[in-house]
Amino acid sequence: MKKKKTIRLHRLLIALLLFTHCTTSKQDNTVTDIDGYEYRTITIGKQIWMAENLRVTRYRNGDTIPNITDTTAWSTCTSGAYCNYNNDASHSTGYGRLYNWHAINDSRKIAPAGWHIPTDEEIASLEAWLENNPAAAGKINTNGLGGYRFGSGGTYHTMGFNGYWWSASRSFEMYDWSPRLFTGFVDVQRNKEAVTYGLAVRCIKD
Amino acid sequence: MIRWLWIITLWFLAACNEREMQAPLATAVANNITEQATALPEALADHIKTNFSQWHVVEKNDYSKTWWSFYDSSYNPCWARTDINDDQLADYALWLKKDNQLRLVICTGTASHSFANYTVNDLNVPFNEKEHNLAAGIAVAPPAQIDVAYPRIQSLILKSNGFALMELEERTRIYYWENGNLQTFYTK
Repeated sequence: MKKKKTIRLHRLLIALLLFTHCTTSKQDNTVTDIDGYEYRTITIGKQIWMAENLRVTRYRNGDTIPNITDTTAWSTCTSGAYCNYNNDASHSTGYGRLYNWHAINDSRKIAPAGWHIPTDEEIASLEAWLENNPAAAGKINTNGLGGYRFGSGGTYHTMGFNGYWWSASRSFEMYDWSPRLFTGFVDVQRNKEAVTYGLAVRCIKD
Repeated sequence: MIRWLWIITLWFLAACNEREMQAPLATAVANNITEQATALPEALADHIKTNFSQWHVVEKNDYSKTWWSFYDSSYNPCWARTDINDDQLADYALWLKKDNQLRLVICTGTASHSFANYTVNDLNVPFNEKEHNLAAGIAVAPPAQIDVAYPRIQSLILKSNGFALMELEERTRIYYWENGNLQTFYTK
């Protein structure tokens, strides 16, 4: 009788152990923004990146980021804004949305909690890593080559072939013909007008 | 009995952990595929055959030793692929050869999976197939502001992709799309 009780107790303990192990050890390979959009994540070297371009339409505190479709309004905008390539929201599913510099630099933060816009040092580190691991370029440019919006004139270009993302002070870019990562197409420190370019966003984990 | 139960449990836990560790690796392998075009699509090859009878795309061994002293052998100067007119269809620039004649052709993709041709007529690049003396290549010119001091001060704001003509290490022309037509920007 006592032996049966002991076995039952051990069975219970084992069931509990298995249950807690399975619920706590599952690795979280996604991140969700304030709008509820879920993004896959990938590990590149020692960094954890979003594997998809950002689609969020609100800052971290819930404030709305305006969607500017008009070309003149986009070119002259002095606050955070986003747009969809060719003003077609269906593109956001595959390629995310394009944001101006003001949205990136806003203190309300565009990145989900626990994530941030990559710093120039983190981009340099990614660039170096890709040079040694060119086959991994697909991790970044798959679903990433969503083109850009030209600052002066607000026209859209290069979707499907070129990808441009904001870093802390400039852009980093990839082309479908190269596994290399390039930087400096847009540099807000060198060119004040660059703040009106619309580029994609890939966040990196804090 | 109890000992066996615990052994089996621990074995399960270890196996479970291993699976968790392998899952991200599997994702990484799937994501590793970088889709860079390494061969011309069949539709374009057929298009060239039909529209440029007896002409063939040049090959890497048509290039001179001097050319390859400037470039890594992984670079393909024979043709380039990008979208120059923002229609999200691939466009190609190719060097075609026939005997000792050379021709630069730009083929823009169309929605009907065909191509429209533009032959560049203002080039005079020496070529002798037997001598393997080709020294001009094609590359993609991504969007940028291109400033030139000679032969006169001028700038091109290239908003979409273009094709660059490389004469050895020098980028001498940019072919780009504007106002519904192929345009040339001379950088030399």
